[in-house]
Amino acid sequence: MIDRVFTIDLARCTGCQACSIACKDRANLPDDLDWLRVEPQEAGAYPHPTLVYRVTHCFHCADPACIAVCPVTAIVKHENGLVQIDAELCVGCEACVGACPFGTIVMLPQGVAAKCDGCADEIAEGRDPACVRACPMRALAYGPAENSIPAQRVLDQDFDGHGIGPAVRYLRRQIPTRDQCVGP
Amino acid sequence: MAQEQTTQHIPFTCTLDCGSRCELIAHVRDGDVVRVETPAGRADTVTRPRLIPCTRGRAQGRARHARDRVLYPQRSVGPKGSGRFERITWQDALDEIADRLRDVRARQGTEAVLHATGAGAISGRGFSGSSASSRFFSHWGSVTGTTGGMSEHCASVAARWMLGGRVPGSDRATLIDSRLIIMWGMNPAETHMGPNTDHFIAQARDRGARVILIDPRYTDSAILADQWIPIRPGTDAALAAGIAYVLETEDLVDRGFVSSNVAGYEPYRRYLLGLEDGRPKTPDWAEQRTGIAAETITQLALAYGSTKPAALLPGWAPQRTLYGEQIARALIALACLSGNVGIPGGGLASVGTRSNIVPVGGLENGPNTPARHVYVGSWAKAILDKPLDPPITMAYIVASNLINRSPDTRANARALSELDFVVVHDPFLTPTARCADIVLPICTDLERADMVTSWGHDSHLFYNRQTATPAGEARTDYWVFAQLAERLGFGDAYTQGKSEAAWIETFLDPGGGSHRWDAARLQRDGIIRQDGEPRTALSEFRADPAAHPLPTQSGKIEITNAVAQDYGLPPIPSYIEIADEGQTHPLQLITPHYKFRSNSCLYAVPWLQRLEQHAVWINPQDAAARGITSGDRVEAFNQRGTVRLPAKITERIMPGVVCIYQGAWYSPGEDGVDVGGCANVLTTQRESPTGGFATHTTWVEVRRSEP
Repeated sequence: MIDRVFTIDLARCTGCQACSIACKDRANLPDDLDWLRVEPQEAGAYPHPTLVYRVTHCFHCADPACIAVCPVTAIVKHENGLVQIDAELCVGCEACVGACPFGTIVMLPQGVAAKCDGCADEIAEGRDPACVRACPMRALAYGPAENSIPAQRVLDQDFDGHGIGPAVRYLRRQIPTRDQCVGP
Repeated sequence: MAQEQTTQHIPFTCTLDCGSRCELIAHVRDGDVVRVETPAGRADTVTRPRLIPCTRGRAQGRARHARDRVLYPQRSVGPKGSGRFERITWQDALDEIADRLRDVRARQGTEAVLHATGAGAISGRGFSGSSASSRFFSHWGSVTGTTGGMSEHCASVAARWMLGGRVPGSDRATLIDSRLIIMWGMNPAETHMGPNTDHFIAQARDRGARVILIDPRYTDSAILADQWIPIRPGTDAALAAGIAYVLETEDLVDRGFVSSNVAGYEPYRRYLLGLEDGRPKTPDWAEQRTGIAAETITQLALAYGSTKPAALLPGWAPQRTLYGEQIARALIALACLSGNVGIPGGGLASVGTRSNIVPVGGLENGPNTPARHVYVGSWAKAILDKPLDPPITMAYIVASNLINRSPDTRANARALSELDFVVVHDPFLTPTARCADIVLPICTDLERADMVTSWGHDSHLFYNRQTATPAGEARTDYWVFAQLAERLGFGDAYTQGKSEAAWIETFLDPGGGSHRWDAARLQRDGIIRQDGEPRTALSEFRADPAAHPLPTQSGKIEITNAVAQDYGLPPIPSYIEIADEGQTHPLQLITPHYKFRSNSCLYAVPWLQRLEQHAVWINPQDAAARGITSGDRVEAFNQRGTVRLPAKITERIMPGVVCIYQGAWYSPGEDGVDVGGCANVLTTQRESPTGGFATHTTWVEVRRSEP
């Protein structure tokens, strides 16, 4: 099994949505469906609010919750690490839609489940996935899991669904020390 | 696959007035754009990264089929603004327009025609927007033109007074050398002013630079910043004075630079120290005006005064206020005092764009110039309030959502309805097009060929092939004017007998053979990049001001400008308190650019519309005081109009300030309330002393909307 991981740098993502549009464009999805979501998470109180844009798509988990619930074995984890839904086998029961802790599976108008396919065709030809290529901030990457994390970043574990081994690393900036701040 | 064989990949760029020009690839099948991609096989370098497009460019394929696309020539069959049209033929449309132009010339004279162009299509050299229409009218006669800039008027004035002209800013790539970056009312993550500006800032930060954001709103750019300093809109010159006071009193002024490269500091220094008015411009003084704690101002000043190189990056929003000249001038002065001028990674608060656009030809104007001008922000007054003599009776509007883009949109709509005849060229049925007597369907970027230059931060040359089959009966602006010129007897003068392809040959050879662009390469790549090593503005001037003087009287940067007094402004960049209009309308309104539109362009594209709900941003304190809760619809209103939108209650905006992104389309209901959320329904037509837009000097009240 090829061990690859999506790396999403929350310190660089400014929520421009280029990735979500690029994904929708490639997959030719209806206007109201997305395989990749970029959602603002606002917290804190004035004058110290915080803002993170959380990029979410199928993370092609090690132990996929969707596969476990599919009654017709329409979902398979392939040798390349990517989890794929076979539209021919899907019976449209929506069990996988509810099972995915990241909410990344959508129902197409024709009644079958669909999700990020990892741009399998493009990866096979040596390209990055469409979302990675689209990022003007170079906040997204897809590559070997053992690739090291940049010095100014730490892993952000502040999300649910770790248990099923999502192939994603969210990075955030190391909290600046007090003396790096201006003012009180 | 058979499908792949019939899909062509064609490079293109946008002509939107967004602040960038990027590289896009259209996947074209059967004359339609089925996908928009980025070029493959290009690598990033640190200072020469790829020009990766934003969502707006990526939506260009979809924009062709947006709901409000104009597909055929249309004639109004209802009251102006009703949006009721009938389809007519191109021949009927062109004949009628030609008759009207003949008629107005005979009855009122050519100056009765208001020729207005806008930001719908810019930097195209030939066939789009004002390049085509200006050539037409300059051959036809002396019309009424528009003057003034909505974007950076006060910054340009400040540059002219202090630097002798619009000195180009440093290349954005120089930011990676900065140790401190201050985004002052600047929001690169949302405006995309300059390709990769946000990427360069992020790179600098990863190399250890500190990044500070000064803005009434915690923008998406705050994600790139270490600290947010909210500021009361319009008080930036007071903050600058507070910082300058600390620099002066803490001996952090770069005395060497000031003595050799700067003239006229002494009167400003006396102002800072309160030697004339008895009021030193201390951080406490600045706190009372800006709402920023004195301690924060002190720390900011100490950081700015002791960190080199430091880039002070002003956006254009702060100078879009009633005394925007003072703000733009004060920020230039601040960069001078800190000595961060002419050094890599530094920054001078100038207009910020490059002026050395690539040498490439374009359509040239004919012999006539406009007989008179109306101000671009308040043109409606010249129709409604003080009619000109002879009056404007006809408007010819090209690539401009004129009523939406100018302050006081309801007055603008009234003004157009007063006219005898209005023609609008647009790909979309904008609120302005709805006010037309005749609307002509125009090609989008993907449907027409043109040579396109960088927006201004770079100096690249782009070539757009005609990529897609025009939707419906859409034509280029150039084609329309060629047809009209033919009918009006100057067809040959307008076209010189050239096809669009022949014009492009001419554009590629601007020097008559001395500098011929590589057409084959442009065809293949869509772009020739001209960026070399990152260039630092004013480095020669800094090193040897005597040998490289600025075009000012002293040859130096001038902090005192006697000419300011001609406009009723002080000679120094002091803070001027804006008389409080907030008695009845206590909230200050800001109307920033929105990341999923370019001004009002691409408004109608469903992909983009559903990315974020258009709303009134309001702080929880202000919302609670008005009984507004999350999910409520609210009305933002003042003496000019009312806008009804959902409330976005958020800690990301300072109390006392509300925000409505500009560019949403004006859509008045029966009761006159705008449910489209056009911010300019609320903004003022007041001008700064030299004629700058003061849209950010607008007060409103917000109330819960009764269901």
